[in-house]
Amino acid sequence: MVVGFAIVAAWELVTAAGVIAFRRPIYNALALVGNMLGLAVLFLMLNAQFLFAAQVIVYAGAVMVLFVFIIALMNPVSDVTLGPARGGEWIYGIVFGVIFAALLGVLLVNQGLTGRSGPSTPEVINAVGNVQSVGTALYTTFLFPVEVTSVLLLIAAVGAVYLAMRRIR
Amino acid sequence: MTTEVVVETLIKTVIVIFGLLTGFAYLTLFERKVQARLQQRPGPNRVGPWGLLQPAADGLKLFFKSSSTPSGRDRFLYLLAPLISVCAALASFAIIPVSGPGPLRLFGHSIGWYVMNVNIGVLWYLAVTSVGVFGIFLAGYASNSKYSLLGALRSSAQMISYEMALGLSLVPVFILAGSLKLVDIVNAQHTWWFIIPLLPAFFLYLIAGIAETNRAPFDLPEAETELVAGYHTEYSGMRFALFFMAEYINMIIVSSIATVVFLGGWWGPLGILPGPWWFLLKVIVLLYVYVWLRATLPRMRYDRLMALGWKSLFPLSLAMMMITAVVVVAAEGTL
Repeated sequence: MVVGFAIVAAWELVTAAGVIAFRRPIYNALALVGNMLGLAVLFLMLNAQFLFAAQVIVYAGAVMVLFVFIIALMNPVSDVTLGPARGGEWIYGIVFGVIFAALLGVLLVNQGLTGRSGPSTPEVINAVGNVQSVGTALYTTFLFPVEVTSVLLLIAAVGAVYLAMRRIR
Repeated sequence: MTTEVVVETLIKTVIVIFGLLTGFAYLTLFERKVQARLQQRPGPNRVGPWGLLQPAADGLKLFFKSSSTPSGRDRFLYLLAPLISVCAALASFAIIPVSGPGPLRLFGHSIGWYVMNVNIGVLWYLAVTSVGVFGIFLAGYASNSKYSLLGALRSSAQMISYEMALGLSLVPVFILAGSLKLVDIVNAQHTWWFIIPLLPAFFLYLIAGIAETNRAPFDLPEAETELVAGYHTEYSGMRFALFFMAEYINMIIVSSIATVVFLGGWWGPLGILPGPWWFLLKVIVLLYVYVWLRATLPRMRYDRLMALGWKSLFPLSLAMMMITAVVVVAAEGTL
């Protein structure tokens, strides 16, 4: 289990570096796909099978296919090569890096490496069923946030349709 | 995870891969034979009795063919694309139970009739196929050819659109069976196959499945009159064979899932044949439907194909899902 985690974690770091290190946009996007698939595998190792499927279908499958689509359509033959980084970008990197490290540090001090286990232990989830427990949580405890999110997505879909229709006219 | 489980899974994986590859080889022969009979001609009959060795001859030919490659290709992605397609196709079969209800007893072990019986069941299939789209798209992108790119755009747009209808047409089954596990779904069909209460959902699934595998009459990505061969125009030899393999294995998988989910899987109306034979028989019948449609129907126009997917199949499968949910809740008396 620990060995498996180490392999996946290394894969995650390498692909995450690939997202910003490759010089051609299509490889950046594919590194992101690899990263999302690795994240899905981490979910699987944590007994979260439903999250694994959702992560692969929604992010690796749907969202990233769209990214790759757009990249391929925008510059099918000659890819843009980015110029050398300007000085200003380093400052953002350092600021957000420090904030992220501080958050991680606070979590580590407060929770320890393994975190705290909630009421849904692997045994409980395996008894009820993974999909069933996620479904129950989403549609009872977290019903309001789920509905608000779905309305938000609906607004986005309607907006996209409106913009597309206006272009046609 | 014990060593025993790992070894068992490995052996089953090898059997499934071997079975799918054999199935692919003979599906090509089956298709050519059936299509020939539908068109009043004998079909391949020179290599071996009834042309039974034809797949082997085809395989040898492709194997020894020199692989020509386009000059402006993206070297890494050009090699990666067929591998993604084939791996995705092979991996989706892992969840399919070919027989049941009990496990197989062999050498004192009880062995399930599936590679894995995961809680997410069919979601595994949907997840794996959504990654398979990358194989097709990258093939078109990496080939550096306009036919390939246009074919890849068409086929990935088609696959993404029909995946929605495909997934949603299966939801009524989950509602009736109360589980996503394919073994539970088949067991729930002991008395009634789900095709009886869910006939519309079955047809929605079948249409979406044919479009998802890019087969006639929805084989727009390979419309040879305008796109040469679509996304695999620039592939030859064994690399082409990999795409060919992925397409036929996907046909087998769509048929297998239809069998398991709607046609009662291993249950037969009479207790004559053992489970795996019933499963195989139903899959072959569905594959025959595939070939039959290809020999019968002309190709659709692309805009009508997308309109059919988004404006007919998608709302219809949503409606089917809602109706099933309402009926099930009403039948339980909680409404």
